[in-house]
Amino acid sequence: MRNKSGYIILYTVILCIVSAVSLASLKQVLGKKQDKNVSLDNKKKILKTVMNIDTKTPNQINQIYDDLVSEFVIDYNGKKLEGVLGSSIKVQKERKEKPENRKLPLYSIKDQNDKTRIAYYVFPTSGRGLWDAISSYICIGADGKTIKGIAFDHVGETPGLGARIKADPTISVRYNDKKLYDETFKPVAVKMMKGEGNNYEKDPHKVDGMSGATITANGVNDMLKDYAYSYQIFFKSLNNQ
Amino acid sequence: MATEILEKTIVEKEPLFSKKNRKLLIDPIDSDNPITVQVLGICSALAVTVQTVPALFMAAGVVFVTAFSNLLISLLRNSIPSRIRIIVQLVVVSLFVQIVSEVLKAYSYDVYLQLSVFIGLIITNCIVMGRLEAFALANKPWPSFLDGIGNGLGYGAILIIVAFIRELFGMGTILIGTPLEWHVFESMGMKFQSIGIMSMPAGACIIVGLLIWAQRARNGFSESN
Repeated sequence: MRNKSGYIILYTVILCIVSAVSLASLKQVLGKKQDKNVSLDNKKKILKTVMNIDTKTPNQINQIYDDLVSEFVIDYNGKKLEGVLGSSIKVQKERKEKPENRKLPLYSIKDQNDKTRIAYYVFPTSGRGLWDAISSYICIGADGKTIKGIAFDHVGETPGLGARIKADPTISVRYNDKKLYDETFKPVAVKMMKGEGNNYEKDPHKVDGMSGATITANGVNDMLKDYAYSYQIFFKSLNNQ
Repeated sequence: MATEILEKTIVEKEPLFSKKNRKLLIDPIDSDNPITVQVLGICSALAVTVQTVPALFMAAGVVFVTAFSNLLISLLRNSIPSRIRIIVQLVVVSLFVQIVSEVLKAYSYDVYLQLSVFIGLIITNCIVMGRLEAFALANKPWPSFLDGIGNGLGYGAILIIVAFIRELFGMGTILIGTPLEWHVFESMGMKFQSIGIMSMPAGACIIVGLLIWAQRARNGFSESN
């Protein structure tokens, strides 16, 4: 009886329905909590580029974020798109579009002491490393050129080599006060050089490399250049105001 | 349903932790360890043992999955059509793996991010399917449940030992990411020089090899042919 086709089909159907229903109800129960985690993680990544939030509780982080950060989406021409939140944009998906057609999330962060002034702009980027996707949040100062902080992330770079972009805090510090644009707002971006241990302090568009992780570094360089170009018009317009 | 009730009445005749049942629980931790003796589940043992805390969560996840999929398959064993039993096993395993993944995502998001793809890959962990095929399909629910816990613990024990050693020599810390975080070398006034290979899967491979050697030397085990 157990190996008759009718029984097998019925058994499979019932098994699938039972599993699907139980997973769907689990998702219903946990969904809200999961969404909260995802959005908190997003907020942490944005705030981390400008301040140290390691000791803050989730509630404090939410409060600081609500207090200081506003979300936008802009297009290539720097125009705000109405009715969309920055955090609702899937950056990795948008990357596949031409820079001119991308929807570009943007977060403005107010000055902590003078809340009428916007002190920083943060935007997310996405690119390819050696093994898998890499991403970052870049914080630009009010001048629209200077990198004030950067937080890299990756999916599967080699631990100890390419994964240092996230694991080694001395890497992202190298980008501080470098310029994403030159005087005329050409998207020169910042290039991570080959070889480690060199001093590029005087060059606003170069940082020291990571030995053993040239391909990850190239991925980072391409990513920065790509997004420097995408956001070029917006940051240029800031300067004309 | 009828079979379920029948099983319960039979099981209750034997004490819950009879000598045979205790053996099911304890054997896989040492003399029949899934990783070091049966050499199953090596992939994730190499992948998620960079730090101790994720390894702990992974171990707990595998214990949960092996225990409950063993239990469920054993309950269903008299109704599963033998021609599609592997598929049924896969569905059951993925169901529990998905539960682990969703619960972690809701209650321990950092660990969820850290383990990322490896939670999903519990489905392909040979230990789980191996126990379903070899034990749960032919045994009653309670012994199957114990067998699942035992094998999960055996796997977890090796995972945690390997992760502890790798974290100590790869990062110079014990239990990083917890309130108990301890920078061993710095606190003893030494400069820590990371051993690069320990943070790569190759390092885990070497440690697992050493563990197998140590365990076989202690238990006097040798390949029979």
